[in-house]
Amino acid sequence: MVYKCLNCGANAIFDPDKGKMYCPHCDGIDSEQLQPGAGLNSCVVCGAPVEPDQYTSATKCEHCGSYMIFEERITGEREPHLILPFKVSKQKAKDCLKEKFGKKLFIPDGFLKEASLDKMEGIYVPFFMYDYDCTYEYSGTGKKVRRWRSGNTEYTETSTFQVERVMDVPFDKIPVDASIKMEDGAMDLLEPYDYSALEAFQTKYMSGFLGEMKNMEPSEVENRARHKAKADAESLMRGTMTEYEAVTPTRQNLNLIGKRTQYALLPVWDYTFRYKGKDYHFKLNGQTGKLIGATPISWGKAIGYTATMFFGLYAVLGLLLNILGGL
Amino acid sequence: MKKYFKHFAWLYGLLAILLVINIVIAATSQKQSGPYVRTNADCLTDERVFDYADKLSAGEEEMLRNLIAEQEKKCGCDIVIMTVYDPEIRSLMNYADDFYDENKFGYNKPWGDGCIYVDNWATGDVWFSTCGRVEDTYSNSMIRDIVDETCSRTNADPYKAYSYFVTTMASDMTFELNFASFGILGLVIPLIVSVIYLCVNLANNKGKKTTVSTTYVTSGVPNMRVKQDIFLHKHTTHRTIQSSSGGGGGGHHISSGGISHGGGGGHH
Repeated sequence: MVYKCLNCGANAIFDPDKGKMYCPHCDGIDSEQLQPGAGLNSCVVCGAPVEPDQYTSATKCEHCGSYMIFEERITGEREPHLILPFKVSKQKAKDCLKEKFGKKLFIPDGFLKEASLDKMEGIYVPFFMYDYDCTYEYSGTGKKVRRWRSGNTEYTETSTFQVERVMDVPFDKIPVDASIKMEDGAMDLLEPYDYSALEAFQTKYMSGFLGEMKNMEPSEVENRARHKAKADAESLMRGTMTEYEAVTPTRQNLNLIGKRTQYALLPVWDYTFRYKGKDYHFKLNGQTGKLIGATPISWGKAIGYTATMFFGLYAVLGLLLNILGGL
Repeated sequence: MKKYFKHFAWLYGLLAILLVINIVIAATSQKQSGPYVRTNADCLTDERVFDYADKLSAGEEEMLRNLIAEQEKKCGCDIVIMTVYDPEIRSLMNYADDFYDENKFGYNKPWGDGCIYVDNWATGDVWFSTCGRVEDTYSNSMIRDIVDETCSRTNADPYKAYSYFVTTMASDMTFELNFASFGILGLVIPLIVSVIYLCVNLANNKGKKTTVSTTYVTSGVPNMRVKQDIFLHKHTTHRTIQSSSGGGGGGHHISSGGISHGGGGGHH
């Protein structure tokens, strides 16, 4: 399917700045009309062939530039429950990159050039969101230590306590990406998202962006959600015992009961920069603007700048020495 | 290149300023750069080597005199070497100070910049007495180093030992040594700064975790159903704190002539 402008017939897309559907051709606002698709293999606008991979749910026609959505991959069992619309526009995403890396000295030429940044694409990445009821029972022995001095004698008083804790932790929407292509570590670092902007799934938010459908079933990645929940619960439990210098557990029982799993699409800007045969990937949270990625290093620049610093300081010290010696 | 020049504008600016100052100083400097000129006309003797214990040959004495004359000009300090054989000397420090004072040694003025090294061969004791600028320059550790090194050479070859003393003392007092030290620092300091600069600019964090343990907890707080801390027992231990004692030594003193001296002794 494709969204077309009622006024001019051009491709209407979702504009994150305006929060509305927008026609870049005639500046029409909310003037879209849905046109059914023409299958997975051809562009519904120009008829040019398209070659989406097995998980692509939205793509851009290389020929006419229209953004099309494959309804076959977002309906029925494949329909997401929720979607978080893009809030960061492409221009803002570029600005985020420039702001974060603009002052870096050793990045290669071209890294922040408009021509490179224009290749940045917004992608709706499939996520599963897990809700849990967690009960954490903890028994242990805690030690409080008090030290004081009297004359040349140091006293150490150790008090021992029986520590008992039972804590209920309801977890809401722990996100785990359901994409093979997206690196798990990078997706985890992009968190958190502001869930107050989550909406029931609507296809219009996908127009203007790329999209991926879930690559797997919730049971296949649930361990990652459980691991996150467990780590958070343990951290919260430790936070209740900070008055102790050491706590030795005698019994621990952490019980996670799955309540609900939802399938959601979350917004991510993806920028790939190729330098000396290697791809450097940058991901930007399409809602909060949080940026993840390590820049390539131009060793020519690194050596040049460092050598300038070394010889410059050497000359400064030499000239200073001459001045001091000459006074 | 634009970014490069913008980044190093401060460095090139600083270099330009320092260069201009250097040129101005070089053009206007009236400072004498040659060796020191002795200004003490009241000293009672021109002799610097008093070999009363007769440990040096005539030729060695002459060579030592020449060496001292040369080094005195470089460092601007009187350097006196004395050997004695007298088991009756009770305080070699007083003996050295008095000899220096009575002869009104001092390169710039009577009782001015200079030193005397007295070696009593009857007992093996030595004393290095300092005065004026030498007194100000020599720390206890410097005195200990030069005396120990000289003593360790004395029994094997007194001439070499005293020559070592003269050249070491002179170099300790001259700018050349400081310049040599600064020459090394001049390389080390920029090297350290450059390595830090490189490391700081290479630092390339992929990103930081910004979720906390309550990020996905409904309403942001867990429900604590049980929180009990039951006191079981208490015990107290104690230990005695050992206090450390520091060492000390050396220092300045006033000779019987009322002149301030520094120095230290040794044995060979």
